[in-house]
Amino acid sequence: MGKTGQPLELALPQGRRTSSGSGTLFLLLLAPAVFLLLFFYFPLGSVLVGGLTDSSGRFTLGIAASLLGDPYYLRIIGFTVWQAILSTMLSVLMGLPGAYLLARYDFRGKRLIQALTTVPFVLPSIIVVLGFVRFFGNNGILNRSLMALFRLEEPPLRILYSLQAILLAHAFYNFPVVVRVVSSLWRRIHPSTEEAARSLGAHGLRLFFRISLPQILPALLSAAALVFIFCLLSFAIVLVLGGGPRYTTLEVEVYRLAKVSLDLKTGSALALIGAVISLLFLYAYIKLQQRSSFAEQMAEDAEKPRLAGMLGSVRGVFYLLYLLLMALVILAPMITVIAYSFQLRSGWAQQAISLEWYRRILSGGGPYLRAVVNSLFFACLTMLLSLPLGTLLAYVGARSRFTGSRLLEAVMMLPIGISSIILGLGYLKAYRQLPWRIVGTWYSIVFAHTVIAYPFVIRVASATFRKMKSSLTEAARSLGAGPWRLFWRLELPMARSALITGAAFAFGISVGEINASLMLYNERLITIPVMIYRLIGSYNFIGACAMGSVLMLFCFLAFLIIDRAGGEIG
Amino acid sequence: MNKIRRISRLFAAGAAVLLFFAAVAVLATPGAETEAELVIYAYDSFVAEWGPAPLVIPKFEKRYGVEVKVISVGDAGQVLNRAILERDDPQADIVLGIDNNMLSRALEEEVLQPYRSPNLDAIPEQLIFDATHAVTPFDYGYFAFVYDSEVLDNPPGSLEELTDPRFRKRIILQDPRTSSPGLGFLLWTIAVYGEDYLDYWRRLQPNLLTITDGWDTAYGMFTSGEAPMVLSYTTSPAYHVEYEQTERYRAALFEEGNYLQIEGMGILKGAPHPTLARRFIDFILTEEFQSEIPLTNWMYPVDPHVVTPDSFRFAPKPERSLQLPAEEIRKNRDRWINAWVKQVSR
Repeated sequence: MGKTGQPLELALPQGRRTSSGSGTLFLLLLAPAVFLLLFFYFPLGSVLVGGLTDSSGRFTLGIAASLLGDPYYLRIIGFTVWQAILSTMLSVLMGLPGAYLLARYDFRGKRLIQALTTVPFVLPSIIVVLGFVRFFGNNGILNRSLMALFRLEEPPLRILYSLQAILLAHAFYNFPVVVRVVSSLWRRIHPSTEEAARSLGAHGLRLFFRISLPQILPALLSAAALVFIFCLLSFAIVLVLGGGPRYTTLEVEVYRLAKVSLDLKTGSALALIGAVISLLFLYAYIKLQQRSSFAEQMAEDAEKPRLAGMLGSVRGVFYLLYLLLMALVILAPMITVIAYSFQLRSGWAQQAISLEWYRRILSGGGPYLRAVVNSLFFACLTMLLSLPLGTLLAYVGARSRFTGSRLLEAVMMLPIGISSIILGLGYLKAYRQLPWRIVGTWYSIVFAHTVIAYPFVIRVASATFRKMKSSLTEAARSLGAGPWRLFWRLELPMARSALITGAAFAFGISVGEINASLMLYNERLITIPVMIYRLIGSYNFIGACAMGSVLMLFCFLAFLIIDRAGGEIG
Repeated sequence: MNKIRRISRLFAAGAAVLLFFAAVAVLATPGAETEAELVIYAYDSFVAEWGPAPLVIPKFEKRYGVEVKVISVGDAGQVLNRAILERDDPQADIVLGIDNNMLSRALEEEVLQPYRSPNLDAIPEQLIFDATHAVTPFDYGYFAFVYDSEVLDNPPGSLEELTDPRFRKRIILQDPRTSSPGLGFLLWTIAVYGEDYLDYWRRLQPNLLTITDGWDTAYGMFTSGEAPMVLSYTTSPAYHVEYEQTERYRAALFEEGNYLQIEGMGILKGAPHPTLARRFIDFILTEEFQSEIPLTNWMYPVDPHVVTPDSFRFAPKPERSLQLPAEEIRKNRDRWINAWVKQVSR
């Protein structure tokens, strides 16, 4: 950390204008456009076109319309959107205090906690389900302890197999998104406005709703958009933890049609409907974000009060309670998975503790270590690719003002709103027509992961770019800085914490991705999630949990390194 | 302004790394893979390190002096999906993992070419599930409810008994929309109750804890003790005996019979190496292949002369096996599933 407490001062050296602006911009956009065309729109289109054409190849909206006229599908669409809205609200409510703590206070182990809260995001849903069942389940740790403690015959807490279980699991996955995305903007907003308001007598909720909320709203909307889309695409969590087909989301039916019934036409028509829904919501979020963004003074990371000094006060007790509750929701299922991985047999045979699976994973040569190395390799490359791609697109999106630019921004976000089952099928279908083989190469996996990850960088970065005060850039421009120089020397450094967050999540998305990887990999390119899926498919639940623990450990370390490396640049 | 220089340097380094990798990728791709002589699409657990492929494929390679490439394309449904997607330009010779419930779809799509292996003569008639010989069987199994004998001392003996109130919230099932055992169980209830199956499901419903998307989640929840009964296979207990030395998990055989699943493989139309593919089909029916099936694929070998391992004492075969005709499944499947979804969503 360099200067503290000061607004970023401008010290741009004099320089000649280097480029003429828009022309360069278009050239710059050419590369991402070609990339996205080749690795997203072309494969996606080759599948979706099936949903828009009849058997003789003519364009029709008939298939999609007939789905929308079916009360069964309408009910599923309604529930999908409804649970996504509820889950988003819960994640935001749970995440906001955490974002505030990270943005406004310093405490020992802050980086550790920040890295730790990001870990759930990378876990395959089956590991999360197992963790939840073993902790919150009817026969889980929580209920067993309560039964032993109060000598009960029946499990007292019936948490799972209900709508609240779905929401809880979605919050587990997504609350870190809210914490990190919001805090990365919040810490950059100069506390002067808050201080002024406080000196005028505004406190507590009033201070939050009148002053802080409007300031952080762009980042809050970014986070909400991402969480919403993830919950919209949720599949196994909803079915299993909800207790069965009562709670079915769109993705379950897409899976059924595309992978089981092998009815690609109806499957892609349904995926198309899903894509339109995500697009509508993304557009609304971006529109709202654009409206609610007002530029203001942004600060370097200011010196923050220490949390330890607060712990005696009432407020401190609240913070402590919050941290404990989050630990229960976030850490408990993860620790349960780790504990399971040391067992020798399935069931609750705790007397037999074993390092067997770790021995197998670490005794090189085998496929386990290869999976770990591959996953890390793909994740690093995905991060390196999606960071410049996302930053560039976010920058252009935040600065350009032409008609339809919001819609274009929403379309750019589409890759996370599209079912990865459909995208994976698209890769298979589209790339067969090309003269060279793409499926089964390592770079195809990196590119697929990049396509899924870069929208994250866009959302996180655009919130910050939109908040930058134009007087600052105007001042720089009047001092002779061209747009190129302006970007590199002023706007990019100011977006630093947002970019670190984007990088961490891009890494996370790549490490946790499974559907597209399953379509594209070959034996040499196996990844950790594919390995977990494979272990579980052959009764090796303990091995899967050991692999899941390795995944958690490496992601935790990677997030620490990303944060540290990002911090050192500043 | 040291900071800014460092950021630009980082970006430049990133760009350089990317360029390097891109160059390596373009240069290395064409020659990276040796030309395999026989290509097989299989489901993932067949290809896994502990699956049959690492044991049986080298035997075939050695015998014929050829190279075989087994490609995992995901779960069993994916195998057929891939074959249909590549119909015009097949990249593989053989697809492995087409079962009796999927058969009609495979025949309807006309992606396979028939071949009757002479080795089929040794295989029991009722296991040869495709009379056109587009698909040749290599193993089979029965769906069954597996229970934890340390929790349930009075397991169910029939489908009907599953609805008994003593099993309230104690059964984990799989969704027929997304899982093949799930579909197997739905067909099982139809094979027993005919068009009255929905009434059976209505009575069964209070006993269901949850319905999962796939077998893996359901079985994981079962071994975690979340419920004492799960829909799985008659061979599941043998796994726990073989690798965990425990006999606590048992499979329940039902009076009405258990539903049969037969897995097979077929040669693709337009396969690049049809002769070698036929040799492979012959090979899967030999003892060399069949004897590896029990402990790697957890199914019964189709060759009745192959001796199963000792742990298979805990993999009981039912006296009666149930099956619906492929054609009937093809005609009614969607109707059955849709009506089922309506019933269990109540």
